[in-house]
Amino acid sequence: MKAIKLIIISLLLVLTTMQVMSQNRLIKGYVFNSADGSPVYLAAVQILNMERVVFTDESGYFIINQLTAGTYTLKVNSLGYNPYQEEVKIEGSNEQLLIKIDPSTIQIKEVKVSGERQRYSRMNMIGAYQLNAATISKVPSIGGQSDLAQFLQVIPGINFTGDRGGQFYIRGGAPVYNKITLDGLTVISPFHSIGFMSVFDTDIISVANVYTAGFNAQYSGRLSSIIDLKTRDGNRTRMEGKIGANTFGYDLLIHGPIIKMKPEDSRSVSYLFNYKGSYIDKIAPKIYPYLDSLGLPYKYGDFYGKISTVGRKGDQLSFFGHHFSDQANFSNLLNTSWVSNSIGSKLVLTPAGSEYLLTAYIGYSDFYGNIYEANKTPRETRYNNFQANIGSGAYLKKTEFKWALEISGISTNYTFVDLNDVVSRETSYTTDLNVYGQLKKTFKKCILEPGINVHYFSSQGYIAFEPRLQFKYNFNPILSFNFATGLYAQDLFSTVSEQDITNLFQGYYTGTDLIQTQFKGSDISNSIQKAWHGVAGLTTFFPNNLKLTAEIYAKDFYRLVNYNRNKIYEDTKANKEVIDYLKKYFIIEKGWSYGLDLLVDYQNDWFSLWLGYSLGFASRQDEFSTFTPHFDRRHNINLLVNYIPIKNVSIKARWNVSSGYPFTQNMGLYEEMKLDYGTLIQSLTSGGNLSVLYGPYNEGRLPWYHRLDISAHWIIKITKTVSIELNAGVMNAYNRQNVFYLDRVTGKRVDQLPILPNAGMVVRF
Amino acid sequence: MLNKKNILPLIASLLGFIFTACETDINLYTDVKSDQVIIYGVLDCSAKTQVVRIGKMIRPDATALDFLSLATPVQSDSLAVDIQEWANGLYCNYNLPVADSQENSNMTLFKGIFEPYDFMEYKLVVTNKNTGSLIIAKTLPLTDPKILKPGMDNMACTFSDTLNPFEFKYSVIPRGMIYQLELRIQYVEFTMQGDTLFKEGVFAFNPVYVDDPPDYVPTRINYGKDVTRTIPPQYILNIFARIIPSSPSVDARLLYRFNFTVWAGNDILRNYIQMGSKYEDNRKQFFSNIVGGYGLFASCSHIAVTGLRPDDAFLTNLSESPTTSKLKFKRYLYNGRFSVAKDPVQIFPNLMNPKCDEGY
Repeated sequence: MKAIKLIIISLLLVLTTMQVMSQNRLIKGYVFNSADGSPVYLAAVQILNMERVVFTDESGYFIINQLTAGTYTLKVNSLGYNPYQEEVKIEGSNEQLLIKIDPSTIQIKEVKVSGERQRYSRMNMIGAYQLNAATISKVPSIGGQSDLAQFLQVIPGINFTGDRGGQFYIRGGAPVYNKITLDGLTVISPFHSIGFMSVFDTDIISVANVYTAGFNAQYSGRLSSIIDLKTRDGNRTRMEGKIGANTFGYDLLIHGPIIKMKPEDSRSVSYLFNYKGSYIDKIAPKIYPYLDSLGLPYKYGDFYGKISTVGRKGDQLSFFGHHFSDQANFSNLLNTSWVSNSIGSKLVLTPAGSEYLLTAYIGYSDFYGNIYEANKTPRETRYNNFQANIGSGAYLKKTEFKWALEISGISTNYTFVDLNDVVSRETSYTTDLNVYGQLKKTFKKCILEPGINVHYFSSQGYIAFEPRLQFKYNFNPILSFNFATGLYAQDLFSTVSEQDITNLFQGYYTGTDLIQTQFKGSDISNSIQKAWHGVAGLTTFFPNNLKLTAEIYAKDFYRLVNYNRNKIYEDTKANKEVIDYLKKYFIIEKGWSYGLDLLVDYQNDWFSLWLGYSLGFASRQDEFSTFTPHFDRRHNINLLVNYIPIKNVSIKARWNVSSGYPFTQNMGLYEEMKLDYGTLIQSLTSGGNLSVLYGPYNEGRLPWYHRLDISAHWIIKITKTVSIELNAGVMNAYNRQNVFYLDRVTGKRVDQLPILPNAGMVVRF
Repeated sequence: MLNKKNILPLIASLLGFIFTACETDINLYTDVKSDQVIIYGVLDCSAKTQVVRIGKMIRPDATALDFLSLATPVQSDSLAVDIQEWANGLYCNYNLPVADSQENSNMTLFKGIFEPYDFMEYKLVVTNKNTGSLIIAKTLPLTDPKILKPGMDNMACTFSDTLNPFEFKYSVIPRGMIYQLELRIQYVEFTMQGDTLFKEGVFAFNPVYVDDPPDYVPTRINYGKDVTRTIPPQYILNIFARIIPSSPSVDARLLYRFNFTVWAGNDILRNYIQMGSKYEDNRKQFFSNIVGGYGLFASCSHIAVTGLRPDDAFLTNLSESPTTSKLKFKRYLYNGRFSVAKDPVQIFPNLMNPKCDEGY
């Protein structure tokens, strides 16, 4: 109740502030691409002879306020578009424009560079990467298409644990601490079991904002990082699409107008449907006969659909949904699968007579996963999420204020087998209420962006106040300093321990019944996990399109809930004297991650280079010990090269070299007394089982990892709108033997994927 | 800055680095070597012979592929194995000499003759005669469980009564926190070749965990709550089908007797079994209550009721039921002299099929 009162008071304050702020004249509107009717993101909108530049958001919206009545010349510039200019006469309190800009076939290099610098100087981009389809396409295609999962691996600070069931660790944060949203809705398990495939077709991604640390108040509910994906709308002027097939699978994309956008109007309805599926499980034995016994038994199918409408004034309403599925079937050993569904709607509008942009979305997502292992009872997990969000913003001359209110209902269900061989089902429900406010104040040389996120976790009866701050100082047009800090809270935890290296399955849970009740002498009354981030960096634009970024970061995960690998007793009355550390399913931990990330980004017309280096340190502490988590990779280098020798032909290469992950060595082997259910009545004279005595936890190191992927692409233009792209590539080009796992008893080793040549063809129309 | 001429040396340098980089071998074993001793001892409070089994940790030099060939028993001459019987600050020491026969493992057996008392505390002390180092563990003993049903006055098992199914009932004892019921089925097998074989099939029911055993009272046996195991007619037939194989070489079988045994274990044994029997991933934790080594020193006790005979209706069921008819049991009991096979058929529900005894 206290929380609800607090949120209502906050909202009233916000609305009052917005009312006061709105007493001015302004120009607002949307910028669209004239060719396909899509909103243009990050177009620079400027009034000639005035300093102020604003940038359009994902819906193409912009606003310039604090103006007086009169006539202004409005100029719009965006990378890849012809400059646009228009005389605007303001008579009333505001003017709403609908601007369509034409794509340009010629990109002037200087304009491109200065545009990026200008945009960068006005945005806080600390620890953040803004990716679009073109950026993602820089990585060599494995299985025909460059994929987000492959590009994420080259971002400094992101560690990936392997081709098969590998996990992403973003600046020291485990996968469950990373939130991935698709058009605002949380997506559980966005990566396929095969490791280098995400559920997203690169061609449907409008923008993917990756925040590796220090993200601001607009994001909450996760401790470590955010990947915020926005999908594109269907073409509003003509039907487009692609049909592709390659050695791993196939993909289909079709989008176009249902009601066509006319040149003088914005009203339109468009559709977009995409499906990608795989058949690698069937053809791998034929085309890769040298694969080990594990083979490539992976199967996936990803559907995404979207209907988008644009109103007369540019307001937008869209409906979207997805159905993603994945299966890994290692015959008798392990069979795991998951299915993820969602349906949602998003509204973007500027109410008549108002300067606010109102955004709202509502959606429901569902995730179900299971695992069947030899000799074990199946495990299942379910995660259902209902989300509704409404947000707006107010704008003064050099100040922006954004706020949003979100309510989400989450239920988790996890089925597992306890030590007594009893199938247990743990279900948890929570309704989270979340409100944030974020202020952006632009000074002559710096930008200050304080924010606060208030998160009410109803099932825990806990309110988390999460202040955030981002700061940027532009020393000069080419050198800037960035800083960000903040507190973060999260209630969701997974049934995967940070001690597990690869996982094809993880259950989800938000309850409190199964966790440690005391940690280092302090009572633990809830399962809220908490962290602090601090990140600082320098970015400089050298001449000749060379950009250098250096960042240092620290994340203090001062309370984590982790799956208990030390559990040896059942949590029953009989064991009431046993400490929680040895009997609870989940324990409390804390830990630090810190490091240095460097990025060199160079691009010219025929060559681009992306060189990232990460130096990272991670540690964790539980009730009794301090240890190194398995993702504590010290060095990680990623080199990405794109080379265009002739028009329509490109060669892409990615080389990754990184130091080995820690692992626990064997101290020795021993013969263990039989542990089956007949133990009580078996004689000590019968033979035992071979077991392992472990050495100190994670004090060994795996060998260095390195791998080279190469692909070549040739685009053949058939007509003005139809083209064929032929591609061929090779993954792990020099067949490096990077270890996947090792049988501790026999010493038998299974490596990650060997050399995998692949080829494909995409017809675009 | 970069042009098409100077990009080639960059690529060449990169390729040179790639092809010369890094080892792929993994050091699976720690550098620090340690001679850990592995000890298993379960004090059987209902028996006069006590066994302690001692092995050592193996550290293969390269890989563990040839573990068995590397497996060597501990140097039994260098170890002194004693069990001390403590009460009121005094103790009686029982030395356990090396047993005559070495089993087919790297474990060495030490056997001693004594019957534990429930009011004592027992301490296992293993001394390395060369270094003087001690390995110590303690356990508290158990009394025998008490069988309430079937009573000694009724040696017939009414396995065929669907309305009043057969019940096996026993009382829990102080410190007894895990119980397991064992059924031994004694039968005679006549083969096509004319041989007569005496056989015994053993079936272990799922363990019962007791969280609140009665307090130990030195002056009397303080029994706690009763535990009842109901065995419906079809269930017992399923047990037959489970543990006795059908075979074309068998001409006929005759049932002889049933023996039931209740086993009880103390908290140490319960935790060891619970921890090791089932875990939802591959990473089993190591339970040990041995100070200075690894392993288990716990207590158990047991009591049996033997010579139980089934009723006639059950024998008919056993012979005609679709579940068991292929086993070729006759409708009458074997009434001759029965000699228990030295190596009885033992089929335990184990990790490969943990539900097998409860799934019927």
